Amino acid sequence: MIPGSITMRLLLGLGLLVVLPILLLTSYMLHAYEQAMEHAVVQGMATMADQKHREIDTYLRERLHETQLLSQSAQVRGTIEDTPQTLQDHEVQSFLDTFMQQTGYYDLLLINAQGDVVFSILEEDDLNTNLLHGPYQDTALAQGFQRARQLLTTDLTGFYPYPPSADAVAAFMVSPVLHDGRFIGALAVQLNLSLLEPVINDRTGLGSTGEIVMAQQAQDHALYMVNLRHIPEAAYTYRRELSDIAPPMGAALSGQGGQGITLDYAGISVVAAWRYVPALRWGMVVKMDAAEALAPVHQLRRLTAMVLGGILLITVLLAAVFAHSLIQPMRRLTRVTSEISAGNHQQRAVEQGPRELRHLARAFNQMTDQLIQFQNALEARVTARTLDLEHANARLHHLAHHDTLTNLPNRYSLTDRLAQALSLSQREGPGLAVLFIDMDHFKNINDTLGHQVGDQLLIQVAERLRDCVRDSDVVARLGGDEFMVILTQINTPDQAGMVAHKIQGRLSKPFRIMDLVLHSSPSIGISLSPHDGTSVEALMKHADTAMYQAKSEGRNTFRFFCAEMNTAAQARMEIENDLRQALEQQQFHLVYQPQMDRQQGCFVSAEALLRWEHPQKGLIPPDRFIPVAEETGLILPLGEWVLAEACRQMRLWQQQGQRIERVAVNLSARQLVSDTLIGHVSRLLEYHHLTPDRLELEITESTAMREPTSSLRQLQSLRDLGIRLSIDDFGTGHSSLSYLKHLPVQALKLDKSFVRDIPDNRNSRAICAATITLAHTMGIQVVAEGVETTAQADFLGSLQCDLLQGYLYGRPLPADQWAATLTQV
Amino acid sequence: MAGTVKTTWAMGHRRMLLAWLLALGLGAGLLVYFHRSPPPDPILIGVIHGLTGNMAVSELPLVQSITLAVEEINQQGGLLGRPVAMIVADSQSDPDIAAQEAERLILEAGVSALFACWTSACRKAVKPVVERHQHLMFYPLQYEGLEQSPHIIYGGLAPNQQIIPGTRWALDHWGNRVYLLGSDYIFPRTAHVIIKDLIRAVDGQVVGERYVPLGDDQMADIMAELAQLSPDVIVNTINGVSNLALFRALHQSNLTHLPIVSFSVAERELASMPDIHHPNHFAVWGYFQSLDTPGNRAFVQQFQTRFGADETVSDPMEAAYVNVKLWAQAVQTSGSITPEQVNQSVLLQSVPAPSGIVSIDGGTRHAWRMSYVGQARPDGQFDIVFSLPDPIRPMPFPGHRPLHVWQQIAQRLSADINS
Repeated sequence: MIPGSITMRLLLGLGLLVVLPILLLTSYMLHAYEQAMEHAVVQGMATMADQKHREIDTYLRERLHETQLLSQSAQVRGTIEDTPQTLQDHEVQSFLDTFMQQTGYYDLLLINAQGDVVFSILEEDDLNTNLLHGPYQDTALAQGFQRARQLLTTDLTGFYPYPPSADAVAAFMVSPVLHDGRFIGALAVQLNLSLLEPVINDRTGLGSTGEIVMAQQAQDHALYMVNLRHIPEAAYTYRRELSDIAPPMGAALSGQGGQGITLDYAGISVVAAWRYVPALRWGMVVKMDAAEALAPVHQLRRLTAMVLGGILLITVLLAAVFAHSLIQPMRRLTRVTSEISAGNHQQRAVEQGPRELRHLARAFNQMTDQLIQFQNALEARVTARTLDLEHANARLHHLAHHDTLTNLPNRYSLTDRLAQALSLSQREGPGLAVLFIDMDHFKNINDTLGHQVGDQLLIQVAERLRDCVRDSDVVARLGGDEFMVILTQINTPDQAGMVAHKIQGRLSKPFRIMDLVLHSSPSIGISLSPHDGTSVEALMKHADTAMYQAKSEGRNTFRFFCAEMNTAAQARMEIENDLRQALEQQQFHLVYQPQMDRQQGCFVSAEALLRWEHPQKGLIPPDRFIPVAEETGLILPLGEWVLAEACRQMRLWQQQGQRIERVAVNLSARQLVSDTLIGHVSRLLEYHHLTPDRLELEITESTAMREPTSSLRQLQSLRDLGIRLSIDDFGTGHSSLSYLKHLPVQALKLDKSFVRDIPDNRNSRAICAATITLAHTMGIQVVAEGVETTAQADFLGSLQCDLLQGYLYGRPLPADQWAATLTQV
Repeated sequence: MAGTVKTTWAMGHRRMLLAWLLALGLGAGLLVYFHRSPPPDPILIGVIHGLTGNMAVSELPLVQSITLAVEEINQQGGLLGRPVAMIVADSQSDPDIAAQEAERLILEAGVSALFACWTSACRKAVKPVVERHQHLMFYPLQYEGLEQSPHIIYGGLAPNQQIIPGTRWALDHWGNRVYLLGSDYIFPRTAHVIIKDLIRAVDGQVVGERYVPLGDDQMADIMAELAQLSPDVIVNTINGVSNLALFRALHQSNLTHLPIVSFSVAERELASMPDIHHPNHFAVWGYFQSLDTPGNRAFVQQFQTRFGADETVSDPMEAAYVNVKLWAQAVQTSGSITPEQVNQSVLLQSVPAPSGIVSIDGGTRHAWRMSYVGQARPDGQFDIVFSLPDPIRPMPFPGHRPLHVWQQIAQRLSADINS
């Protein structure tokens, strides 16, 4: 039975409503009945005790009376006064015999006034002894005689062992014998204890456990006078200390009468009545085991318990039946509900049972119908929505994995596919190749022709790339002009190389876009798995590195990744870090190389050259760190510092009164296009109180060519300031002299590679001569660099070269050593 | 929704439980209301004693004893769940008034039992009243015997418990030449018959026999006679104030060497003559205050706590006290307070009394009692010098003469006195 269930509640409720009142009523009535019964039983026991008491009293009184009567008879008197004669008398003999037989006494004795036992029927040892002085003066007989003599009263002595009768326990009834008012002696009859037994042991009405217990007090003990049910040979042998005695007997011996339920000498619960019997000076307890005396009570209790149990059982059964009739429809409803929820939509509740439950079933069925309709509608909608969702999901997935412009997989998708391809290759053998493709000069196209053109270019690049590879290969766009191709099933680097070559060829062809024909080319880096790495990151990074290598080695080419590339990249990184530190810690200084005016024959200017003295690595050559500074943008702060330092030194020289006209500073490409350049230069000149002609700025051909439009604008601005401009390393680039005429420069510096080979090399001589001549025709001065020998100086002099620079005239020197140099010359 | 349903159910359930508890409480209340016992009316007992008149000195202490017993019973919860209340009537020491009061108490107050009388005259006056109404009276005094009313319980000593053992003791102890001295009324007259029987039984001699009127203090003739006769022992049955005159006279006549055994001098009387000490004065009673038992010590202490530390207790007082206890136990045992029932029940009662176990002998309606002989002390108390080992079976008609003889003697004596 589950707590909280309807069955349980019905049981509890019915139990409370039916069983509890019955229980209360019954226990109250049972209690009242028990009380009455107990009272009646106890009272009955009291009546019995009183009856027994009265019986004993009456018996003894009658015996005393008889004895008294006998003592008054002439025969007795005669016997005491004249023993011999009377004894012969047959009449007396037969009278005594009859008396003894009727009474059951043990003996009859006659004592004369002096205490002599003059007659005894049994003629035991007490005969002819004197009770006042003789051997039996301490016996009950002697005491009885004394009392009779003193009180002239007939009475019974106590029960004690009597020695002349072999210590049989006996008492004596002694009656004084008077003759004419004079005491002439006493009559004594001897009662053995056993004589009382029939009187005492009559247990009529006491049932099977009833008992009459008698005891007398002997000093501080109770001496039991009858045999007991639990102690068979108790009579006159069983004694117990008064302090230890059973309560009823203790009370009786103290003279108290009473009745109640108490414990007997054996510790058994009994219904008892106790009395003091003065005639015997005994305590008497009439008792019956409570178990028997109160048996009707117990029986009634059992019966009541059974009836109650029956009522309880019937209640439980009725409640169960009742609950079942209520619960059955509910169970059916529950079953239908669970079947419907399990999908059996055809199920409907049976509309049976009590009215309320029928209503419930009907309502349930209606609700079920509605629910099913609702569910069907819902399912249709869910199906439609699911379809929509799936479409949207697929689209989202495509968007997430593809580049929208070219519809190629994007970077995210690529890494996934590369990972798949890698794990496939690792399991199945052949390696794969990753090609990193970057379109050269794409930024220029984007900047100059606009994004639309750039985008179209990228689309065509993507198409061409796809045409170049197999279907199993992957082409992806990483972003901007960067593409990546994964070539699977690659066994040798050559296979990858062939594809790279094919790509290079295809992408180098002109692109036709919106009536424009554009030229571009790819730089391709290749990394191979497993040779160059087995992880997505390593392969992509290495391909990237290789691509940069290709780019730095002149573009429109492809390079395989090699470990050295990696080392170079690391060195570059190191330099970049060192550079940042160097800028902060001022590890740079400038050295100045003098430029000789050939006509004047003196130094007129100096080229400021940057030197980096690394605290640990020592002097680091500019060709190692300048490109890095250029790439990272560090060239801008570095360039500014160089400009400022050179201006400061120029001013210093001016103040020292040195005969030097100007200082030349190299300008990098980034510096040239920087928005802040013009402002910075003019502020420096102003700050150091220098006129613009004191500063010369050198740019390389490639610097000027990189962003021709903005470069030209910047140069023009510088020129407008009045600053002298010169082209450095002239002759090494691809620019043509025709381009030179657009530049607002005052000088060009003939590259030292030409100077080195003159005067012996004819080509060099020709170039030098042509350059100088051409320059002069355009009004541009020529500075020859790297002049180391007088032969070279003479040759250049013959060509009317304006300024000479080189070891022949002076190495680059720190400013403080300059004064001496200048003075020397 | 589910919560609401559950709450509603719980509330309904709680309300039902409350209703049930209310109903149960109401039921229990009704049960108690109809079953409660009526406020227990006290059980009434009538006490008739001379609170005024010449017996007041003797009888007032008996009222005290009865009061003490009743108070003790009530302290232990009363009888049959009811308290005991006493209605005390003043007999003004007049037997006729005592009889009238007895009638009144029986009929008007509806007492359960009477505790009445000191003198035999009083008892004999009340006896027909209680017999007529089949009522029950408890009599506390030792007396001359020769009476056994089926409606009186005789709680005092019967002659075989006082006169016979006392006389026997006197004869055994002091000698056979006996001078009898008594007041002139029923008790001494009857006592002397018995005493003379005893003297005859041992071949002794009554050297003189004198009766003085009740209250008389003229002792000169008697003193002269005593001086002349010089008996072995005087047996004194004088009652009341004449005893004071007797002992003063003995003192004044230099007869203090004569042993005297009194049957009507107890502690109270002895205390009334503190300046007269008769060294060989002996009294015979079933109780002395000096009795050295735990039961008696407790009784004396209770009495003195209740009524004063210098109060003395005597045999009649103890008997009056024990009478109440016997009655109470009879009521308890029979479960009834009707005199008929109690009269039956009381015949089987024993109580532990200050004097020892006191039992009523159903055959004679008298009490089993101890008999003590006490020697008077100067301080008004007695030293117990002799006692019989066990209580004595009461015999209002002493056994040495047949019953019919005693009845004739009694008739003759009462006729003598009335004339």
